[in-house]
Amino acid sequence: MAVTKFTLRKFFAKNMGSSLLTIAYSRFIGRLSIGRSKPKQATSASTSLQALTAAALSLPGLMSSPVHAAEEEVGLSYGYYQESNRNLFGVKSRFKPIEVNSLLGSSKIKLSDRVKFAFNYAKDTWSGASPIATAPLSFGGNKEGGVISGATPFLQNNNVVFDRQLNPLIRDPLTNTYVKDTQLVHTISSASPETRNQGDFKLSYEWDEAVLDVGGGISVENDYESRFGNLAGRWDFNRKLTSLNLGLSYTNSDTRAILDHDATPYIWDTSGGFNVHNITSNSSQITKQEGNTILQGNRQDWGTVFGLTQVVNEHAQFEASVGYTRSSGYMANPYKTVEAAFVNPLQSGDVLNGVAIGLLEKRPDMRNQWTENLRYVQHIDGLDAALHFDYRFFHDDWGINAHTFEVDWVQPLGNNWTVVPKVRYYSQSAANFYTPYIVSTQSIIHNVVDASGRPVLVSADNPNNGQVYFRDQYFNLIDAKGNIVDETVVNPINKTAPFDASKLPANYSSDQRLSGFGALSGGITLSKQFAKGITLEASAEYYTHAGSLKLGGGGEGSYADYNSYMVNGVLRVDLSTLSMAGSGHSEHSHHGHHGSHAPAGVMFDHMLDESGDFMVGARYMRATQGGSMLHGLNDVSDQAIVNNGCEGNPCFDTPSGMNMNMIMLDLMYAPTDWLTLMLMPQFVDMNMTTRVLNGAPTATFDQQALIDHHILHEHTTGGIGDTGMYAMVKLFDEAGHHLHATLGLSAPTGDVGIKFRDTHRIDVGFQHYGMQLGSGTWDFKPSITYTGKMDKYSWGAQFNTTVRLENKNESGFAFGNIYQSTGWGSYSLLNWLSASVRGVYTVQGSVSGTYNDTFNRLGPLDYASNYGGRFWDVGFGLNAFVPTGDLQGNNLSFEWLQPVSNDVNGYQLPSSGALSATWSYAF
Amino acid sequence: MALDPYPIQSTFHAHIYNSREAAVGSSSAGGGGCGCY
Repeated sequence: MAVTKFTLRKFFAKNMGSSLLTIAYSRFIGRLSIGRSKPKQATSASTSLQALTAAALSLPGLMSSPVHAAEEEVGLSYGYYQESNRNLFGVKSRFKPIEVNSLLGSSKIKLSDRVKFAFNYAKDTWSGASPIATAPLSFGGNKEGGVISGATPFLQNNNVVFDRQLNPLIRDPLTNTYVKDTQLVHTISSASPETRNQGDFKLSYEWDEAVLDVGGGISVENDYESRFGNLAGRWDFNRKLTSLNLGLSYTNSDTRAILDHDATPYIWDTSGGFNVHNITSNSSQITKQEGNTILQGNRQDWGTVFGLTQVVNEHAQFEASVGYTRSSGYMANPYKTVEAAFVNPLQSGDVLNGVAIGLLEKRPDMRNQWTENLRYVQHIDGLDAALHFDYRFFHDDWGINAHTFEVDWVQPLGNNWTVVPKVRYYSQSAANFYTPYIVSTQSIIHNVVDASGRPVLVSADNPNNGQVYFRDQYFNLIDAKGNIVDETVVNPINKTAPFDASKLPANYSSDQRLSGFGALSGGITLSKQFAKGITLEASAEYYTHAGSLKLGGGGEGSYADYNSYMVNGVLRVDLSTLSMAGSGHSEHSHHGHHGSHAPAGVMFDHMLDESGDFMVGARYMRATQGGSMLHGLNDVSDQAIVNNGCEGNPCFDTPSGMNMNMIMLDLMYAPTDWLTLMLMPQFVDMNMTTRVLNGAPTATFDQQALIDHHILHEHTTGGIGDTGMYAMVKLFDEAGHHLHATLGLSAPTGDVGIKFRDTHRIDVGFQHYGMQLGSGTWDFKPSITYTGKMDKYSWGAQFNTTVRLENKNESGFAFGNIYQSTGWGSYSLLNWLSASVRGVYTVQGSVSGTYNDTFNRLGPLDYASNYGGRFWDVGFGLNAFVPTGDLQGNNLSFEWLQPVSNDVNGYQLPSSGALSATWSYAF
Repeated sequence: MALDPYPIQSTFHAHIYNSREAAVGSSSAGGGGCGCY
């Protein structure tokens, strides 16, 4: 606060001739000072800037300099997105619609008075089904029945029927005649769960009237990697009432998509020959690698934006900007196909037969995009509120024009609560190459003739050896030189050629994102700023996508309509406020904790010292498994696993590596001195690779398809894990010795029903037990912890257990109970740094029960008896603590846990270590 | 950004809009990934 005031005062003294803003400033400071001195003018005259600042409005050179938000802040956000089912016109899909879990951590700190550093980390996971193509209903893209029940994408070699006007026909079962049916429907396909990680940073240097930002980052997915950098400058003038912004950015992205078995048979290369013309754009290529069909492409984006921000008066401000982005390279979606029907018009009768196949979509290699933005904020005096109005116009040379309107009403409610209702409307026209499907008036395959009209023949045994043959007038088989050849040796067949790709449109896509539609959404945000610089925000938004909502009409049919919702929760911690607000107290209490912090891998290691204390923290843990498979304590051969690893059933594959990442949020509050309450939501993601066992038995066709599906694709899952709620009770606390008990419950918020995507139209069923995101059961988690401290030494011991309160979860199984004991010693090397050594012994039971739905067991991982065991680990840790300065009270710990002895139940991949990192901040 | 009351929320919302709408952010070199779902 003090710094904020000082900076502002200096700023106004230096720049302000304007009495208007001086008044605003004093009111603003009045608001900031509430709770300290309560100046009288603040009560009645909260007004303009108060509400504007409540909305974190930027006054140029003022808000974007120190006053805007917190100077030093840590934020954590969780978001969830869920789409509704699509209308499949009577076909009951067993696919769950797409859902996305997003976690975002952000931090910004001051490196010096003029230099700031910001770092963000984002992690998304998604799973579920979305449209892969669009087709007339008569194509049967979502067939029921067949190998598996429910809907499955069916895009390949469909026999389709059209009338002479190329309207799709459907057979009426009653009259057994064809009738016109132009109804379209999406073809839905599921995707295996996927994860994206992104890290980015921004370094800023501030002059008195200018700011320069340099930033960059990387976003990594299994099939897409993006690296980006940007440079931005801001110049304030006109007594800082006006600011100019200029930004430049560059992004380079690689697609490396495995075209899955469920898609590759359907995705035809438009030019036929896989090896000859396998290009869907000049910047991409398709290759075969180790049994996978891989599409690789690269794109580059250069963007620039120029903006002007202007304070109109003490009640209003606007920002106008224009942006231009030039994108080049592979910009298609490798998982979307375009359904193409090939119909030869040279057929007799009124009913034309054809064949429909799925083509990879094809987009131009160049896209020029322009945006014009306008943002306006008006303070509403009587209600002490702020009205935000944003409009954006987007257009590109793909033919898309899009309008976005958004209106937010920021209404402070008192007591530091703010409510923000929001309405958003979006409308776009379709890209000029968007098409729901293609009808091409040619055969999908035809017999080749030479220039004189003679059918060309080739050898059935070796059709691609370059030799061609013909029939002479006596029906003799002759070669290209006219010599008669032996028919029995050549075994002639007609040379065939696929359709002529040049007769297709130059570009085509059925991606709903490029169709014409409108979207209307409404939402609400609630935020509450607590004392000590903590802000919580929660928001929900409901979104309706419909062709009929397109501005000016002419949007896509109602078959493409869907709804979705998103919810979002944000925790923000203002570090600069904290370190100033709570100095004396927190300094004292931290010194208390400081030396006695347990190694990073130990949870529930300390309580809060005094009633009213808060702590926020984040824990990260990465556990890896790898190396040779174990049976009990010993390495085991593949043959032994084949013989005994699968409870007497055939054993085909085995895990070769697994990683688990877990991010936990640590929220602690002490209502009294002897009790600390703790809430721990968590976000987990896992990935696993598998390999075929040497000596594995011969697989059936379906089993082989499943094995390939496992071996060729890394398995990934991720999302919200289980949520822990704990109460810690002080039992003894005197003269360097402390004892407390923790009683806790873990709520089954993590998904335990995650399935693989289908392959070869086989329902692959549940993922392995260990790849689910939680236990699925309510778990009781008691522990008892002792810590001691003397001079530079500290030590501790803990016994903790996890007892499953249910014998099976909603998917039919339960993990085994866990009993763990650990002891550690720590030594302070410096006043801010200590090192620790720890021993851990863990016993875990095997899985009980089994999945209650489709579950294809292929290896030891799929059998309940191959879970749990007895494990010895040794941990080495470092703990750093900031004793003074702006970041005082922050604690950062790392620990590496090295396995010493793995004694596994059954047959398992051993642990190869775990890294824990924790950050915490008590105040 | 500065005119945005809740920038962290906006990042999440923009990510979702970008995966379902053709109009991408004005100057974004913010990554955001493929959004190919």
